[in-house]
Amino acid sequence: MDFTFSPEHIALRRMIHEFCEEELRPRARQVDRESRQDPQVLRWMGELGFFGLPFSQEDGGAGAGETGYCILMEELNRVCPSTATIIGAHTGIASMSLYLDGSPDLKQRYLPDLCSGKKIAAFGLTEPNAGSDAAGIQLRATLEGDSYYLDGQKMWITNGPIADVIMVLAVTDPALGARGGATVFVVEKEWDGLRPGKPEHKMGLHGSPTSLITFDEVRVPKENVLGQVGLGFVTFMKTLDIGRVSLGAATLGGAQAALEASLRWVKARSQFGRPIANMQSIQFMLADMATEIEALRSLVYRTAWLVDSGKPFIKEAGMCKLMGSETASRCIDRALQIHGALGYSRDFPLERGWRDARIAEIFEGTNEIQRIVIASELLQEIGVRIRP
Amino acid sequence: MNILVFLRPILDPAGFIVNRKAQKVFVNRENYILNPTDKNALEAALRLSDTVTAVSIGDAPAEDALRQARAIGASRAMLVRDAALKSADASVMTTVLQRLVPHLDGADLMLLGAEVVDADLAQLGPRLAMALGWPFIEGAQEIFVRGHGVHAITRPRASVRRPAPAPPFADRKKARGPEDPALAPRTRGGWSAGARQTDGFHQIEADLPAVISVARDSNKPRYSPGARLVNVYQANDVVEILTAADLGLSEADLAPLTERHGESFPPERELGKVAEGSLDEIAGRVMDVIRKR
Repeated sequence: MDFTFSPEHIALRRMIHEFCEEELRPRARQVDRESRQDPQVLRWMGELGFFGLPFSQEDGGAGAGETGYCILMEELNRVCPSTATIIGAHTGIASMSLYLDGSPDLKQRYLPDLCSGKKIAAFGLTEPNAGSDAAGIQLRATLEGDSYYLDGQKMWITNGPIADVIMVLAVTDPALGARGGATVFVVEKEWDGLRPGKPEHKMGLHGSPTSLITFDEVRVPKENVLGQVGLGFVTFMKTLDIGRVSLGAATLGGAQAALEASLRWVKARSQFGRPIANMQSIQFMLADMATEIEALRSLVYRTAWLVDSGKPFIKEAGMCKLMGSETASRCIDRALQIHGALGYSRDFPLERGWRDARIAEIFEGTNEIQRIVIASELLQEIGVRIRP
Repeated sequence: MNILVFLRPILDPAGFIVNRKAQKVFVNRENYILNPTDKNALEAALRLSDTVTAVSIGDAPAEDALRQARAIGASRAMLVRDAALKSADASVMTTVLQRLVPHLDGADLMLLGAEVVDADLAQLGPRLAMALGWPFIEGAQEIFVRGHGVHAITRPRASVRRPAPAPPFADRKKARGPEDPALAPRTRGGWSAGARQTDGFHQIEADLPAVISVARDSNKPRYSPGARLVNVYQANDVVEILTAADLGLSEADLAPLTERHGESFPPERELGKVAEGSLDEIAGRVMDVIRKR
């Protein structure tokens, strides 16, 4: 058993870490305040291969695998969760669905530009009436001649306002519904009838724009069907399975940032005539944080290793997302407690971290859904089938 | 144009914890970083030429520094690795590099960082220039190549040192004075190089080949693109390795002139005292302190 990272992953982390500290940290506060990441910074990250990190080099990616991608998400989310979320939606789920199930032709047409960040992608699953019940989607795609016409709405779409390409799950056969009757389409922003809404006013992740997208008779050529007609739901569920690993990695970065901030603070802050690092109440919080973070790190990178080695990983991926999001929320909350009133101040980065972290318990499958996923995988191992 | 860049891996300064009470320094000896100013040197080289060879002396950390350089954009990397180089000091490094340059069929320019974070000796550049008989420019902010000459913009404190026959640092003080002949109309050719002052900077001109040390923060080093980094770290042949014997170096060549005897701490600075009283009394107390010194 060997828990060391490979030399390329160590080097990759060093490069990404340096980029995050030098280029993203000084801007992170502004990104939150202005609800916008500088497009030039995104382009820069594209040139460095951040947008296609896990994908093979033949497809235009960097070939760093799931482990490399988890390192990226951990480091990004440690410094600027808004930026991490832009890449998470773009790479981890939107481009990932194309990478997993797209035809060679479709990949060739879209993946190089997505990997280089020239085009930004969004993942269109959630609808006003289909959140946790993803199978309840209603956006309709009707075949006429050699084109489909898309009608309906997608909601809470990360990157919605800035996306050039959107992967959309639509119902092609209402009789079958999502299971067997839904198909993924690659839709371009400029196409007639596609209208992104205004960015939502969210609690956190202000720099990662989220919006409604309305489809009004949007014509999509047949060639832009991603994967097989009728099997789109499978493609999207498979994509979300793998996305949970890197989302877990992102939450690890958030939790780590909280611990680092706390360790700096307990040394600098004195009460009762000595640094608060001497108080056992503080020490216990630090110990709990560090222990949970270490457990999460092991889970995340072991699961990334499962993905890279082609082994089954669905149960562990759900655990990454579930444990990660709750660990991050808990650690950031403890860090805020350690910082006292200053932690509550908007002049300190913890307040932003606290707001940014909460969504991880909700998006990409609520933690309740994760528990169902994990339980169904567990029960399947003893021959009990609970997932419809 | 062939440029050599000398890279030095250093222990990550973040891994040093000083315990004054115990008079001990805890050092994390696992994490090395590329000497920051050497990154500026590499960046300067990449802006000047497509044929940049990164060179380093040492074992695993040096090899990693060279891999980083390849990932950032160097077209070739050359490592001199030898057990006998374990305690190499600046004089040994000079000898090794002096032999390495003809081994690589010469070069037009040798760049290195103006300062090294660990020992902060900054003596390798001038020593190497002396050994090679090339002109040396210290602390370049910017470098231009024109024909057979190289121009560098430096801060006024920088000076041009002439190699033999003058002793290494004899003209150091002189070169800074305004009446120095080097600051008058430029002289060119042979070993000499001139300097003139422009808006607080010197523009220094030297014949090629030359050794130039690059100033800290004189440019923004580029990051290595992810795909290139992955490829460089997965490949086995990106760093070429030479031994001391390959360079025809004997045991005597590799004997260091200096030895390390340990660390000591400077005395802790005493905190100042607050003087109270009327203005005259305070002034009197301050004067007392000054007189005692």
